[in-house]
Amino acid sequence: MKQIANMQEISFTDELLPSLIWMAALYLRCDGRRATKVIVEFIKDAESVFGEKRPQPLHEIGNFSLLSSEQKQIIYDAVKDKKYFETLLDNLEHQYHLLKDYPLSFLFEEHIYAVDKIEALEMLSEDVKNLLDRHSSIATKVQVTAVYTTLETGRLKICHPVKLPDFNAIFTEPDSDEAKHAAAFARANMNGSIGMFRQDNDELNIKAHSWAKYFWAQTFKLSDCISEY
Amino acid sequence: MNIEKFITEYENYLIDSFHELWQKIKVEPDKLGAYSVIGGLLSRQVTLSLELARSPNNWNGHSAPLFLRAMTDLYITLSWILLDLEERAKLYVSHGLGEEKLLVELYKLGIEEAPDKHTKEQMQQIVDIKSSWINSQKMDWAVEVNLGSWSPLDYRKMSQEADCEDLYKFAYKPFSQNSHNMWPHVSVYNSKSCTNPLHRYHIIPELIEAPFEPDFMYRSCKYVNKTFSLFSSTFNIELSKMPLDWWDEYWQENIDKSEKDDVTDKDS
Repeated sequence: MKQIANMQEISFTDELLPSLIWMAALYLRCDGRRATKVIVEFIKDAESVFGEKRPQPLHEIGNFSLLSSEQKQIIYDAVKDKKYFETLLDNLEHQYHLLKDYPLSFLFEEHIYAVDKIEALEMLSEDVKNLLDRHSSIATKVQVTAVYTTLETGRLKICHPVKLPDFNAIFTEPDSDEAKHAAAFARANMNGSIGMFRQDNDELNIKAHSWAKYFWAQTFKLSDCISEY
Repeated sequence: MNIEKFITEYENYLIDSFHELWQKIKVEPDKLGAYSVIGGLLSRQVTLSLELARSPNNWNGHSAPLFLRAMTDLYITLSWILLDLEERAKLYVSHGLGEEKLLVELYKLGIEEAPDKHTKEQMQQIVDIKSSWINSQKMDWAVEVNLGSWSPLDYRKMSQEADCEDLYKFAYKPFSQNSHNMWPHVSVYNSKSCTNPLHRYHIIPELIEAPFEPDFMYRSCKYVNKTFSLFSSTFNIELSKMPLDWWDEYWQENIDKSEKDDVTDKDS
């Protein structure tokens, strides 16, 4: 396979997981319908403030780190009074608390919270653990929702003959063939996204961020190795 | 399992059967060099099995494959040589002499660069011993140094020619992973996973006590059996008892006996 031209080796865990970790937190601690609504509405609102000059897809939170302070402020002003805002912050405060330069930290400016560090660490471990197996239920929901936001924001356009899977199937009938189709569609789409945004490309106006590397460097230092038989 | 009894009896059996086998082979006077090679290889195969048997601490996945890799390598070498005894035995010897000649030259360079007289003298002694070993077989100026492999084929092709490709695929190759410290071995026998998701379940070094596996000893006996069979079929000779027959008899007898002992113990 690696002999095929333009074929690149990518790693979901190393390169993309840190940018999707926020969604895992929501799916782990909220009802599925509610989590989807919060994620999709937040991304739609955040991207809509840019009009024609859209940034790189914001469902990958690493892309927030490429925005200027002014741009972040505009997003903050646009979303702070939304109904989903408190749910979003309540479910991400452990990540904000533990991770330095968390790409969504600008949302927490006025948020008052109290987090126990040990509890926060356990929650972050759980978020990561659920995404490390890319085929797990949570990881599938996260990836499908990521693709769904690109459809909702008009980034991903599907040509007529391509049959779009029913993404709801992963919530309503997770063992069905339709759900498997949706999950496979989402994983393939994520793979393409990793390849596309992994390095700067002036022609396509793409800028790579370093959040994934930074995330893993930090998480490695947050706790010691656990070794047991 | 009475290991001490097993070792003693296995040792006695292998030594006797080795002598019995070699005595039955009619060495052809015009091919003495070739018979020296195959005789030496036969002895080495038996020695490797004896040495493994004498070290039950090594009957585990860390150490036993070091022996078994050498034993499978030897079997492929021997079976390939036996297909053209004279020519291939010559190749085998010539390559060995060349290797030693190269080593002698490297020592000579080392002597020039050695910092003190004592080191120079020690290295000179090695040069003298090795040169004399080479010259006892062939004048060293006539020895060619061949930097490649001793045979024109790699081990896979040799095993194909010698009709033992399965041994190559399913024994030689996996045991090579151990001998060459390759990842499939090191990641299993010298590592374990950190279960911290924040560390991405990375693999960390560990000193693992590998379980005691007498099966490694059985395999060693099996390779001696294969080697003896090769001699039997090539030279049309028969051995009074083959290693695997000895193995089966030994365990049949001793398992029966230990079962009887158990019953007696319970009755009393």
